[in-house]
Amino acid sequence: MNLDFPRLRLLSSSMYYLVMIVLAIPFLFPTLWMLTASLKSDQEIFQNPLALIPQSISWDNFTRIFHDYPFAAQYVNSVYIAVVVTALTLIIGALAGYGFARLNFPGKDLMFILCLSAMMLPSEALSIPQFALFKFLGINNTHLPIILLQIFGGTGALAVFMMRQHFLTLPRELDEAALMDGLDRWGIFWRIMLPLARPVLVAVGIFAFLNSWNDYFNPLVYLNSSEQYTLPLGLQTFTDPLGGVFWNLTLAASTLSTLPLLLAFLVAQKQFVQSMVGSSVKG
Amino acid sequence: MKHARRNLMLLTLLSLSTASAQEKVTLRFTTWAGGDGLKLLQTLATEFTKKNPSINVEVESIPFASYDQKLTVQMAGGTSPDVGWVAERSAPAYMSSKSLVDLNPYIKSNSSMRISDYAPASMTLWKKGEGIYGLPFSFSPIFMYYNKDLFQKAGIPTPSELLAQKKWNYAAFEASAAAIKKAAPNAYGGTLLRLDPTNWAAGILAAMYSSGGDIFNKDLSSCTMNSAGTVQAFEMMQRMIKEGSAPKLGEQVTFASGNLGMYADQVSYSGQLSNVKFKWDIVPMPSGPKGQKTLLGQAGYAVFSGSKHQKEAIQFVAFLSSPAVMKRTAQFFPPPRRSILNSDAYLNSNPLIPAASLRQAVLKQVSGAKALIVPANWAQVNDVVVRNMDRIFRPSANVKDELNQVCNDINPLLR
Repeated sequence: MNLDFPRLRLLSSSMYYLVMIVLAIPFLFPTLWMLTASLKSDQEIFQNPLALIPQSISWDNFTRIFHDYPFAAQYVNSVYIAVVVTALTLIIGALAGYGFARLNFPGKDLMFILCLSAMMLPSEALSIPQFALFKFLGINNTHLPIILLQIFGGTGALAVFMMRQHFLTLPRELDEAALMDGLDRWGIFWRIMLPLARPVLVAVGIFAFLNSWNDYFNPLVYLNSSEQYTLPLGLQTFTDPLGGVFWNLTLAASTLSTLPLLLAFLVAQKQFVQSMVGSSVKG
Repeated sequence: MKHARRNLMLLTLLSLSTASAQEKVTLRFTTWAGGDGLKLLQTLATEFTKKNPSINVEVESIPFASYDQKLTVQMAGGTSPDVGWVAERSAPAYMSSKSLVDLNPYIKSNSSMRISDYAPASMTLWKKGEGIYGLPFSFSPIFMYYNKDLFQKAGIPTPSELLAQKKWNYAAFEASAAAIKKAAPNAYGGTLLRLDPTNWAAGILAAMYSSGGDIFNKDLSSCTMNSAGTVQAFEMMQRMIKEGSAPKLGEQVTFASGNLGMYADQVSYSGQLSNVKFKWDIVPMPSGPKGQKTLLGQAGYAVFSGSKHQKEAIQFVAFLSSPAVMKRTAQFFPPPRRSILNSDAYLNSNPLIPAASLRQAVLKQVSGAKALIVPANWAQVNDVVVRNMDRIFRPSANVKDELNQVCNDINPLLR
């Protein structure tokens, strides 16, 4: 009858971990496979496709993508575009979201619906008129259309929507109290509202960064030279003279382009999950 | 489209305040080349500018999978590239939408173009009526790569030996594949299909042609995928997959891994075999009841009608297609100019393939090779076949019935 309680608990928790580890395999395997395949030669990848451990580790793939291809330039492009897009989306999203939630002005609802429509139209349907517009502005073949289409396209609209919903949930008494204490509109926004919106800002920031980082279609349409390409396009350029893919180089480049996201997620995981839970409970 | 173009011309006229635009022209040249092929094109562009200081050429590399998508948006948006590569399977679509410029007037007035030097089969795709809408730079028959080590292991005569004895036919191909599978259970004997099922129209077409089959009738008005010859070719692959001598559909087995005895592809594939650890060689495709036939892969240079510098763009195409330049691009793409194709310099240009093998597999096959001429909506037709591939190659499938169904779906697309 002497039930060894701590040991039972240990047993049940190790069972729990075992089940979790088994369940995680399907999610982890592709990433692990990419990591290890990027250290193999092109032939070895196909010799035994499921093998995780390379016969001999070679860093050659990684040196070649930097040496023979403009991969470094493409990396820099992707990073700076994603940072600019994230920063501008946050600023515009927070300001516009606050405006839609708190200010009264004629045509407010119509404008909000117009703004949301940017989120609902598929980007391919708009691509030709947008292309003509940017051509008229003379900024084709620069990074500007890619940045602008994120900030004022679906990503930006989603940011405005999320920020507005969040500000709507904050009690108006806060604004009134701050007004009584002598703050003006800007002061209320900057000192009271924005700090309260931190979890949503984090979520919006992550979405904006991810959307920009993974954008394939717009760079494909607007960019013409390999030095200007962003990573998703660059990943498709590791080919032989007639377009046959060098998988070893492609996988090495994919590994490098995924790592920052993995790291960022690991670091910001807590806040990310919190913000998702927070917004759903309050909303 | 016409209106758009007129408006654009007005716009450009308005913006012609930049007088320098008239003095120095910049051409945009698009390609899906990668690696060394791209580097060579960039070098050629620089050399062209040296010869023609008023024309600058920017080489733009676009991933092959998105090549047509990007070009279509740019053409519709009024910023068409001036000149570029066009793949054989998209050429009819570009030609029917009048997106390519007729090069014939220029060719006629320039004897230096020596168009008669081109092998006739290389031009069929690009000619329409009196017009010539592109000049091929690649003339690449499909042939058979085989793994010498696996043949040795199986203790059977190699395809080269069979060819010398005039016994290299599809029955021998199938039997050799079975023997390899038996001797090396971890490997596969051979396949006529590609890794990517959307690219099915390659090696298996050679087998279809040499047993009298095809995809379409001559004027592309009806589907002949259910003809006896086509059915025969598909049935052979079905048998081989069923018996395990060919990899199943979608199974990731490549020739370069050393696990595949025979594989049908073009010269450019040899680039992936530069440091493999097994011995290999190439032979022509096997012969069938209707003789030895194969598919001729092609790609060409074309000038786009959206270009505002068509004259200069044609000049660049003429430069790229000149014998001197084609000799240099020949290291990657078998040249359609007969004078170069037949030269020793070309036959010795591939460091991986011995001249004698190249002569046999490329040169001698060219006369029996056929370019695949497709309708403008090939993408849709191809989708129908790809969708049905799994069903056609099921072990229990009746291939003839399945291909009848495929034709039922394709025929409405051809009208």
